[in-house]
Amino acid sequence: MKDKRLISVIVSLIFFIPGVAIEKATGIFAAYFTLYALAWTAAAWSVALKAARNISRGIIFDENFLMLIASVGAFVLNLVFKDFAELNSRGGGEAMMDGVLVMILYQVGEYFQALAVRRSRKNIRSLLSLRPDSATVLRGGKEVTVSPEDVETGETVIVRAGERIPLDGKVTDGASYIDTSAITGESVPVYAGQGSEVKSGCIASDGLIQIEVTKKFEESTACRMLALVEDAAEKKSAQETFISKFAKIYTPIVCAAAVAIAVIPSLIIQLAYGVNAWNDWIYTALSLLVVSCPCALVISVPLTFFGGIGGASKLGILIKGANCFSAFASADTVAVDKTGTLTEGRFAIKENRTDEETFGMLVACENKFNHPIARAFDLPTPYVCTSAEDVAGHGIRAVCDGKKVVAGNSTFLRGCGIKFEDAHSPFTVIYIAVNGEYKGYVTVADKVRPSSVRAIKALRADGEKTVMLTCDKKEVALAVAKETGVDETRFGLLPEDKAEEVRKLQRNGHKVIFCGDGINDAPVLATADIGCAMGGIGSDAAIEAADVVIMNDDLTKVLKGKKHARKVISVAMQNIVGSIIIKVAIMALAIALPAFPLWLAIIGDVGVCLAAIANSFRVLTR
Amino acid sequence: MTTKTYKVDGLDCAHCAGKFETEANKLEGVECKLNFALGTMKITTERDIAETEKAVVRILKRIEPDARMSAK
Repeated sequence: MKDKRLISVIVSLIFFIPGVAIEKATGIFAAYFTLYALAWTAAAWSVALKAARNISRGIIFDENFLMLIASVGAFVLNLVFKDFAELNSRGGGEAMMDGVLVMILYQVGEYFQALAVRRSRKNIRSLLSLRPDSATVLRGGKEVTVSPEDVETGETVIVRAGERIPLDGKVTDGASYIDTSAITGESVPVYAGQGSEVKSGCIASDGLIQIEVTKKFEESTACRMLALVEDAAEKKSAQETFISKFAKIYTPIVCAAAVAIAVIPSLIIQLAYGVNAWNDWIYTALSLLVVSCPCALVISVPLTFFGGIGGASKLGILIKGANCFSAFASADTVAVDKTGTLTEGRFAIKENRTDEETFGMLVACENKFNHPIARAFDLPTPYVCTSAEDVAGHGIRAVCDGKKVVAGNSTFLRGCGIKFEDAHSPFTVIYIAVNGEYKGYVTVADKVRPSSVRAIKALRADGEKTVMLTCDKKEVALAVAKETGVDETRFGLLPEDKAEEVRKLQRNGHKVIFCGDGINDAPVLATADIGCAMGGIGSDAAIEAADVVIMNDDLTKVLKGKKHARKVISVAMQNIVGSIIIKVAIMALAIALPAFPLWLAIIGDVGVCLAAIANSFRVLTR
Repeated sequence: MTTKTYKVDGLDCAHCAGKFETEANKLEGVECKLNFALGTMKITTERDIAETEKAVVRILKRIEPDARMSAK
């Protein structure tokens, strides 16, 4: 189709250029009229066909028809008003030349517009290219290549270096550095060895891994991410809704204005002064018809928003609807869940107030268990624990290298009759005694992510108020608050209380983004202006309630996403305001300047459309 | 109720795209969601999917004869 357009334009130019030369050089009417008419036919036949088809279906305000009227109008003016040349101080066939130019430029514009739309689509599609095409699956000891949809959970797939992981699963054999950038936006590869969970859409950058499939294709990360992004375009932004309303009234209004301009001033001049000015005003009216097409807006604004969704997914941020951009960009408060969001959500050793030997023995003893606190001691140790028992979650009693080890909280140690000093720590304290003698303590705490500290600092520098909401007790909350530097802290909250805290902030006039890892956070995610689920598409309830999903645990993505949203909104506004201003300016100039050429109007119109599409490309990049 | 996604090629004018979507949604028991930026159309129908597809293609051809719709 685009080639047809290009051929039309070239054929048209073959007649048009000699036409202009003959007109200027000789002024022989029959000669240049024939050439112009041929040039016009070459350029306009497809437009005329479309216009005719639409009129037969009752669609009149169609851009094809408007362009046709404008260019035919120019021809007719030239033929009817023989004195046109003198009145406008132009050459003999100037209006005819304009009429042909309108068609040529319109076709060229449409050609570039189609090209730009295609390019934009291609860009957006390539951002979403994380869909795996095939999977190599082990069946009966043989490698079979099948479509990922046909792989069942529990089967083993093989992924070689450079291949995309087709389905979510667990590594059963081999190891590889995984490029997760398509999913998380992070460029640093992540090591995956036996037992590691891997997500579809990521690329194995080296080695060879076997993966036991844990999720069917439709439920795998890549597929769900794509579905979310594609559905996002269905939720229209306020700007898009405005544009479609605007376009509906804009074209008829400008057409009506064109008719008015063609008739009223000429009639007044004719009646008042007896001067014939019809050709001038009709010509001006034709210029209005040319700018009456709202294409620049209708195409560029949805492209901007969808491109924005694509661009965000490149950053590892899923935005669930074009309607979220505005609130995301303008929110002034960021409320953050503590456990699992600001912190890693698992215990790590914070302080070690004991000697090396005791610590080594404690590690050996804790390694016998698998509860959250014990996992903090996942370290190598030369000591060997021979027996260990967990006492009601308060502590452990164990034998290590023949010595009796007792470790636990204060109640437990007191119960064992051991004397010790209170550590006065906000964190979880484990007191240790070896063979009945107190040996010091170790504190464990949920570690603050280094990225959280950076994120809070950056958000505050950007002018956002940061609030921590946590179900944890006061001491722990305040310690984390101090470490991360959040402005305000609310502690001891149940999930419903978090939603209430957000509502309180909203009542005080704040627009609130809430970031949480999704567990139990559905009510507050739904309450916040922007609910931001961290850590990927894990829980369905969280995704359902959230507006934004951040594919990894990095809180700095919130500000990145916010800045991106601002860019998208500003590009959309530039396109809306810029296009309208330029169109109004062309109209004003066409009315004010009697010699305003038709072709300049169409260049302005097509130009602004292409510029707006080009501008919308900006949201695809970082 | 069947849902199927199609690729729509050659529909480069947003105005025509909007018209196409509106017209296709007028079919009884059919819900169409056109994604202009991706050039895809999601059709949910209570009727036979092949029959719906034919009806939607007919509408597409009327609005933009050069456009094509194919299963994704």
